[in-house]
Amino acid sequence: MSPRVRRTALPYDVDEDLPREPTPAGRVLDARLHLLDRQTLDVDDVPVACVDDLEVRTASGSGDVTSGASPAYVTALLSGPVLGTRLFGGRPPASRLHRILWRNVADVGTTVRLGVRGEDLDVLWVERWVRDHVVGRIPGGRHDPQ
Amino acid sequence: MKRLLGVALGVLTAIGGFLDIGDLVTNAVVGSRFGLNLAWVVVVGVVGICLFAQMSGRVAAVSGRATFEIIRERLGPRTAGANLVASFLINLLTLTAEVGGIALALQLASSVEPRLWIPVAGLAVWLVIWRAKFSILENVTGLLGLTLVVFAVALFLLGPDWSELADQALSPTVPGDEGHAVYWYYAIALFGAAMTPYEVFFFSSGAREEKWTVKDLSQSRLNVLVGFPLGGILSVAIAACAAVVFLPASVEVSSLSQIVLPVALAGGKLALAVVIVGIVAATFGAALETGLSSGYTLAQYLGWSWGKFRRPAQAARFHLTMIIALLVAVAVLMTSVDPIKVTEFSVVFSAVALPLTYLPILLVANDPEYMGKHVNGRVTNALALVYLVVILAASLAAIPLMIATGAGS
Amino acid sequence: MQVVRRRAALLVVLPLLVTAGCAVGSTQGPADDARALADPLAQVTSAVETALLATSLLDEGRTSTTVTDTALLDQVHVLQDASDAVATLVPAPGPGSAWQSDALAAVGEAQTAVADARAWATGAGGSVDEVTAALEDAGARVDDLTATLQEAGS
Repeated sequence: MSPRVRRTALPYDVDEDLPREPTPAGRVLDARLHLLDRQTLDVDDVPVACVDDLEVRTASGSGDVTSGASPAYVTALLSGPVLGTRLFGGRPPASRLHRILWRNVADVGTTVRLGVRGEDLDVLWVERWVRDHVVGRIPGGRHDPQ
Repeated sequence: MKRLLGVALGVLTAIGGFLDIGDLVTNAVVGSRFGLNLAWVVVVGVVGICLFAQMSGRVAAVSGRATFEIIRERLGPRTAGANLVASFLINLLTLTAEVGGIALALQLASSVEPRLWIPVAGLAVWLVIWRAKFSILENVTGLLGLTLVVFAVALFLLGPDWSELADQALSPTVPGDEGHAVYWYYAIALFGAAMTPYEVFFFSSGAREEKWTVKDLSQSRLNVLVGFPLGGILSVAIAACAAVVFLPASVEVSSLSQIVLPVALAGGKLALAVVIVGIVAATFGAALETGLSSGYTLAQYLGWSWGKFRRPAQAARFHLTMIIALLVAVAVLMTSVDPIKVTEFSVVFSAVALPLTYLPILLVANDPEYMGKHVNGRVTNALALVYLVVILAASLAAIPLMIATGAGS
Repeated sequence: MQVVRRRAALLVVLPLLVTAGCAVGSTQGPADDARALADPLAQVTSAVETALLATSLLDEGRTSTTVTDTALLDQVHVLQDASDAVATLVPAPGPGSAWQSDALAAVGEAQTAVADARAWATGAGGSVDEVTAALEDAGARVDDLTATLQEAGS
């Protein structure tokens, strides 16, 4: 392992005053605690997806969100194959992401509620495909259980 | 009056639903080899499953969240994913054992070899999952499974030496011709049979299916606290029947056909017919529960739409998962693997996997964010900690004991 | 480099030697043979006793043909396993090989008796007395052999 770093050789100034955490009015959400891995429900209480990852951008849409230079915003909840990169690392191409736009989020509690119907969202294309090509075609698949 | 009926129905269903192929086989095998010297394990297991089911039912009713959603929220995707893989595979193993059990029971009724029954059993299980309402599938199989009470009746008809049975049960010893390692191996198997994890997935997801709220808590507590102990008594009766008939003759139970012989000896053809109906119902009910559990676990982890209260088309991936799980179970059984062997492995691996579901449930049952004022009380927590130790010990010891004893042979 | 290679070679050869040591016969003496044969013989006893119970129950009209038939079929499989276990044993020098052939003969007798019982149960012929007597003989033979082995094994 790396040898112990001398205090004087640390990459930051040890006596520097760290910036105070902002204390905004209203609710504070921790992205990891309150968003990641939460269930999303649509406006009719139908489960849509689990929040597998988040898309975070700066206000201008460019620049590095991790630099902290400009405030970062959660622009979308991600779900689907992105779970693989979260488990094993790496980064999927942006074109392959399935997004639920942040403006569709209505409420964040023990679940994340959306203000739209899940039916219209991209993330559910697998569900729709399975329904239209497999489950819906088996007799009785579209009827209520008896 | 209606409320009383509801309570009775819930309790009866819990009794019938407690027993599955794992309980039947493990209790009979243990009874034939150790008499009632392992009956204490059933007591430990029943108290454990009461505690566990009661906690997960409460979590489901109060937070409105099912087990695997919570496991992922609390443990993160990686740990929960590993947990999911293990739980799903063991559940699949149990599903395979149950479907095989249906086929073996039907063989007893017909003499037609089980390999011909396996696809029929798989199809029947799927049809019920596909079309029947949740409450119907739960109540009908539970009530029919209640016919296994015939094991208790048979025990009385056999007129055993009660004092000897009581002596074995109350001051257990390892019988002379069996080793200590084998004794403890079967203790873990019995524990795993009583506390199978699928019961918890099913119980907590079932609470969501039936839209339980805080108001239903007392009913659920009653079902569990009365139904499961009575189910445990039936387990002991199965072991006692095997002990009375097989232990003196040095017969080692290795097939379902042997398990029903003591009942036939005691009660004749009528009792035999009843016990076969009971075994078909118990294994069928458990096959439904494990089949549904395979869908529940995966759908809850990945956030899919799930539930029997929806039309299959509205929970498409959930239903597709169950179809695939059943196809895998049928395919495995069609390789002529012995369902009894599958059962024996499934109960031991259930014990191995138990901490994976127990610990997250215990954490959430103490989390006010989810539970509000319904967090665990002190007594529950004290008991839960004792069981945490027991469950961890059983889980860690299971595989070394399995290797050391050659799976109990 | 030389050292590393030598160590690697050792890592390959050592397990090979260990496995090779186990290749021919896992038993060392007559007592081990006796213990190794006792397990399959216990299975045979179990199968014969089960078959006796199943036939007597059918004779008294307490079971159906299907249940007895299935029970007997299951015992055929148990006996097959026991027979395999006995036949695959490699005995040590001494009485082991005589015990092995006795055990094989006992298993064979039990197999015949159970097969006959099944024939009777399904109505193919024979009488319950013959079938029971054959099963009891097979059981007695296994018991004798088990007793001999127990003496030798302890």
